[in-house]
Amino acid sequence: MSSSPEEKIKKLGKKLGANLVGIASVEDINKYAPEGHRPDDVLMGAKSAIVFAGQLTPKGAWHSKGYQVHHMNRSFGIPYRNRIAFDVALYIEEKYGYYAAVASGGNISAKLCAEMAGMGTRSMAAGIVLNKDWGLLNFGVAMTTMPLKPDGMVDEQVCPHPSCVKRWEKEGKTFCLDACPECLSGELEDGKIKWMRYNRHVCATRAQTRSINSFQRTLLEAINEPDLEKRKSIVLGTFFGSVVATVSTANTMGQCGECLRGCPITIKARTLKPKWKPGDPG
Amino acid sequence: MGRYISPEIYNKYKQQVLDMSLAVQNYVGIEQQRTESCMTDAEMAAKLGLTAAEVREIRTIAFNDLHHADMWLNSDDEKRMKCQSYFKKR
Repeated sequence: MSSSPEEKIKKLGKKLGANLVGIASVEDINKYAPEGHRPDDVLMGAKSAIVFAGQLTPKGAWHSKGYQVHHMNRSFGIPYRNRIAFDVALYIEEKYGYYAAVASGGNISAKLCAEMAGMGTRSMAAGIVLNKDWGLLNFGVAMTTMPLKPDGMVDEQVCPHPSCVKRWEKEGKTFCLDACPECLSGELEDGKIKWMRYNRHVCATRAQTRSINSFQRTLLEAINEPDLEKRKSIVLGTFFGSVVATVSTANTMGQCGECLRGCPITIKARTLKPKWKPGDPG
Repeated sequence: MGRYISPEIYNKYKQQVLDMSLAVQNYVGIEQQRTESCMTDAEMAAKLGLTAAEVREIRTIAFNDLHHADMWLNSDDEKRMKCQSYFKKR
């Protein structure tokens, strides 16, 4: 029996390296996305959004005592997922004759598309989408005018994990709220998120410590510094040097991720058990 | 040169624009609330009587202007401390 276009597209996405592939209908996305940020604002006549998700980093990147290893590894994922979206967009155009394009550059919310494609649900940790098996994911999105059968949202909320509910009932804390009270606040009620608040402006200084924004801010500081020796120290010093280096590689991310170190969902997702031991055949 | 926003306009609207933008995100349950914050530039512009281009400029400058340069520098230590504290507790 021949497989459906949806199955073929998902199979190709996985072959190209996605851990998960989901399909959302533009009609569903548009119930939440504001005007100007809808898939059919970006690609006229778009009917479907195909989301390619992958684990954020190799699991080992979470097992480093230096946060920098985790950050550096995270920078590879999004271009990689976008490359999958690009290849699948070309496949759809060639095989099925429908327009397709990669959604990028902040025009549409990949997070919303991922939710609508059944990849997970928003979490107390900055409202990011957590998947029950893969934890924190990153996403590439291809939009197409091809009408595809959507996967729909997942029925059960992934966050909070039962151990967070227990901790909340005992201590009034969850692991993420405890890790980063500067960025996150919220409450659980009856085992679910009652409300939450994310101070993105604080998180940005941590997620994007070395970024275009910190470059602009530090440069302004240097320009405004009347003392020439202090100004020299700012511009020629290690921090500004590393900021400039990172701007040249566009190495940046949305959240710093420290709130997720103790998250039971991400711990499960990043835990490995050896499948081979010395002496076993390779 | 970038689009020029006068200091009067910038200072008058910067806090409102920040409050209405994605800089602070509120959720009820897991649904993002978009009546007070998380608005698009066009939505903010309609509320404030500005153009979307003016709001975009104010928002971009205000976001970079909000925290002193030291906060970016110090965030390195914050992350290091949080990461080390996690491994110490394990």
